Amino acid sequence: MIARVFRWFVLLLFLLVVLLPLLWLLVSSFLPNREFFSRPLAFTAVRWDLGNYASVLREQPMLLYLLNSLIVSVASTILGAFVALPAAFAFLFRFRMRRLLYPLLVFGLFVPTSAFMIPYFLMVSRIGLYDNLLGIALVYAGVSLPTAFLIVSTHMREAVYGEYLEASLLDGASVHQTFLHVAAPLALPGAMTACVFLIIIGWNELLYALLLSQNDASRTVQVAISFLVATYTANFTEAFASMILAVLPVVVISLFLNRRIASGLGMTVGLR
Amino acid sequence: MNRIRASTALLYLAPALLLVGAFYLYPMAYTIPASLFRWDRITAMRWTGLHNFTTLFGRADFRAALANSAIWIGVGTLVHTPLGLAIALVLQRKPPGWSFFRTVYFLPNILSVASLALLWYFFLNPTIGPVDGVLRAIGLSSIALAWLSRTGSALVATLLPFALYIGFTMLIFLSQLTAIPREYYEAAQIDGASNARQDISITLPLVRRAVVVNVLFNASFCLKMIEYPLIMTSGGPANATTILPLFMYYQMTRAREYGLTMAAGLVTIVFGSAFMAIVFLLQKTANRRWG
Repeated sequence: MIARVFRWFVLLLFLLVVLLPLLWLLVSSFLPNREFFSRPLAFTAVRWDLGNYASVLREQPMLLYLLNSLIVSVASTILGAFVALPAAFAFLFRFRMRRLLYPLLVFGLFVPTSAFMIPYFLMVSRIGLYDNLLGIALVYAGVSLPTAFLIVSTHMREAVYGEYLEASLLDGASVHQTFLHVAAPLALPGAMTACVFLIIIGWNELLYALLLSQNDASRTVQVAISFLVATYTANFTEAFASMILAVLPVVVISLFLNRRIASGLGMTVGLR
Repeated sequence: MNRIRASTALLYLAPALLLVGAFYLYPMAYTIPASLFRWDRITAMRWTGLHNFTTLFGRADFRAALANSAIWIGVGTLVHTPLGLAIALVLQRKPPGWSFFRTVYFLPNILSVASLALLWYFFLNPTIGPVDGVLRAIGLSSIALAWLSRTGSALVATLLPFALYIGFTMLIFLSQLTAIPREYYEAAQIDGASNARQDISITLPLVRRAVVVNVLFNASFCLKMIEYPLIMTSGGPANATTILPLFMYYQMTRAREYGLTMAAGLVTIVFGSAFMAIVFLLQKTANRRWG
């Protein structure tokens, strides 16, 4: 009995800890700044006034930042998926150097890539993609390749049975035909899960976007968010509206794909 | 398993190997020699041997960053991970509404760390933040003091959101918990073991793989992340909240000390590898004990 009460206490306390700051942000983002100052607890003044959102979209290049983030995350995801899919396919077979190459592709998961900020910066500058959305997308695809490969690879091993491959090869299909017509279609759900992760990772990343962009034309929404403390010294509620706009897309994605994310995670790290 | 020629396999692996080479192997190979030079990208590189490393360890701000990163990893291992496990254990018994709780707990983990950091910056703000507002309202104004600008509390304040947002860790635990056969618990129940007893004797040994995965993921997050200290405190006051990635970021962008930044990068990698080695050793010991 005491244990049950304690369990509910913990669950509800955590619910409060997670939801309270987010709800405070949401509710405050609808308040005019002056009203917000007179009631910092905000919950006493719930209303749905879109004024802050309108002025953020009017006075800041917010739509451009959102579009930039979309381009970067989608481009890096497409690149990542197209690289990870054939790599995962190769590991459905035995071949020489297999045991050496698999760890090579996944060890990056635990490398603190922050140590490479200068090499990344120099590489991207060298190929002329500094201050360019494609440069940022390229870095994202490269850095998160181990994640993408691991997700696609684990799902592929579950979905594509050895018998399918054997049958296809016995029927006279080449390895390439087997990849295109047997393995790739079967691996599609796994690839989609990887894509969801990659899009969210790309949308949320800050450090490399900060280092590799200079102008509005290549500024992602996270970089814009990180500058808010300096730019909105007084108009807090407009800052809140910008923050809501910056997180809204991933919230929508996750609402639709919540179950896929939850089930994809455990499988990915090989726990199921 | 079917066999293919290595040349065919390499054809399929080439793009992936290219990316890993460009974004992991090459930067590593570049960083080691480059950390032995003094370089600002404007004047010529100058060979200085190990001078960058002696400079680093002689500097109070770097030592603070190293110590704080160790604290971050410590909190990730000893607070964040156990909290995630505790919540997963509660949700695993599927209390009413468990899937709602799971969704809500995971929600912050899909939001950008930048926006969460900014949210907590405002939430803990002394003039507009509700935390200090409530504390003052209930007469505790003595502790309602600018959490982020005092050396005593700033580090805890930047760590707080990370320690509390356990959604990712919880999901990884949940996925291994659901793989434990029900019969284990039924047998224990017949023997009269309490829930707590079952968690300690059955569940804990069986989820140790997930413990290792989570500890390593969290440590690597701590060594990559710059957002919380960058946005909440800029590493201040007086280096109280600085961590290794933030130190490198400022050395690169503000001080333009490229060689020094890469030396700090190497220290970060060695530090992370040492931690991983310890975790693997502990795992080996545990495996010997529980088979």
